[in-house]
Amino acid sequence: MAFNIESIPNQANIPAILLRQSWREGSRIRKKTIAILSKLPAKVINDFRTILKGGIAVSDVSQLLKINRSLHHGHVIAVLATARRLGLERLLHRQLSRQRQLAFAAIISRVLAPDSKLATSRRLSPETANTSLGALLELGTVAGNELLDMLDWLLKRQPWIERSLAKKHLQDKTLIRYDVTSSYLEGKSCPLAAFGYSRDGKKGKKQIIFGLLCTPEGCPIAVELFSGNTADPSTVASQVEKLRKRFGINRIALVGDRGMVTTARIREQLDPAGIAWISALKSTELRKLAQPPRNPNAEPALPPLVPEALVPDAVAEITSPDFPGGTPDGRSQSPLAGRTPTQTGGIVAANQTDIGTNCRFRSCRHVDRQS
Amino acid sequence: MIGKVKIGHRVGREVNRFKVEKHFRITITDHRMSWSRRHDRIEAEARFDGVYVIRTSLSDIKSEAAVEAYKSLSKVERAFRSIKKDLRVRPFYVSSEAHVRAHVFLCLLSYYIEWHLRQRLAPLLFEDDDREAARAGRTTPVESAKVSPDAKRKADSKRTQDDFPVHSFRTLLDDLSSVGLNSVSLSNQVPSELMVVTTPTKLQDKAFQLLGVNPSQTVPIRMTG
Repeated sequence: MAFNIESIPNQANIPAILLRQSWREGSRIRKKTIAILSKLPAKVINDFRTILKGGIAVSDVSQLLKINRSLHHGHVIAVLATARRLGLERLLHRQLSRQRQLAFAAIISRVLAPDSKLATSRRLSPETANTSLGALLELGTVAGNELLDMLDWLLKRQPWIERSLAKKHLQDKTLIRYDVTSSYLEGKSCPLAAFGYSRDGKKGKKQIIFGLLCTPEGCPIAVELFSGNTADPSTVASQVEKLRKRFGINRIALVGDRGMVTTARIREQLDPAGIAWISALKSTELRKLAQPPRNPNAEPALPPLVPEALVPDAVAEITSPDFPGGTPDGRSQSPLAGRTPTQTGGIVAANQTDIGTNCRFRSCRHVDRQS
Repeated sequence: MIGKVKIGHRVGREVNRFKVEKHFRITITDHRMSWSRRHDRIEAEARFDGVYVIRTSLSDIKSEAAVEAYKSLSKVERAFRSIKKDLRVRPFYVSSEAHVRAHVFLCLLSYYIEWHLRQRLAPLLFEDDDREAARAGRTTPVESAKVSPDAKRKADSKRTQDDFPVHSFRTLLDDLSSVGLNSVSLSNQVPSELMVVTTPTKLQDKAFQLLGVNPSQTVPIRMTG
């Protein structure tokens, strides 16, 4: 037995809409009209048809859909896709493991919403998630302690990961940028934390120091932590070690500011390791250049630097025996120094002669700051 | 204020604050203090105003390249700012040495992603996405850095070339987060759960396009809990 709605043509008049019941008697199909629907609006008739076909009709459109759950998703796929394109999962570890997935999730979660480990675990667990990250990575329930264990795991992987990043982003002759900063801690229990010179001017808090190695474009490669009372130059030695031994990159140059790559660091760490460098002179060293030579009998005598003779906004090259690079005998040991320096242009340079050091000075006069 | 010691203490405080004592001659008596400029020293120092010297052991790079390399140390500062402000390295929430070390390393890896995201999303951000034009704006690297005409227009009008509002990195991520992943079912049809992603706005679409992401891709995941 079946019910259906039929439209019966009625010559010139509007067709009759009938709700009919039909059944079979032997080979015959019998029909019986149950109701005449012609007076009903077309929409209602259509809804009747839908229901008879097994569809649904609702009294209110807002009841039609039920949204069971909504998670923030757009920023997750943006960051996740970028991280995957960079091959970050494989950078963390070759083998898939719970720790690797947790580390991967924690790294992405920090870009999305930096927070504590416990808060991050809440954001990742299905029960409490507010983004789709945990579900996309199929993490299941994440406990706060798991993330702490993950930190231990990540620390063990750090040398390997940094070496991979270095291999990926550093080539021969790359000029690596290095600088340090400080960050203070509220607590006192961290063994690394110590009172020291705060780069942010924060007073009365113990701090840690961290040094960052970057590519020329600013892409980060490696980070190292130091006790809070470490001075800038004393962090250089471990970076030299890192570059030479761990990364195994030979022809490399370190760019550091004048407070970092100092004359002493150049003499004691960089030159013996054969790492080339770019740095600047401190103001006291700059003044030394302008003083008459200490040993007037030295051959050939060098006239002092005359700052007034420098052209504003231009670069001049000078060399000076007071600040030699390389080995004491003046020969270059720097792997990047392919040839002996040539004297080019510049007013100061024109007055001076190359005395065989491989150190050059670039002297610039900046027009904005002229008094 | 009376007394040499008292005045001395007070003067000492200012001297420590401004750190220019070497340029002044200060005399303190019991009842007054006086000062005068030491013109010889000021002039000697003024000779070097604006002069800086970059030193290098590299003999095969141009002077300009060396100056530029030194100046680009600001990129590391930029990284520090992002790690500290945007990725909020502080508070650490952990205290053992190993955990603090790992936490900072984790922040580095997050910045590694953020750095690449910023590169790709540059047209939508306040970032200067035309470095070449910016570099061409000055004759030597000694001059102060310039922004490219494109970046200047972006900063002035707060609209991008495609007439989208310009975002900062954080607000763009927030904007993208409004694209939701919804588990939807028809009210009285029980086994009909669908995963529906919000239709992105034009700006969100542009961001996904820059990143090479297809947001409407079906997401075969289960949201439970």
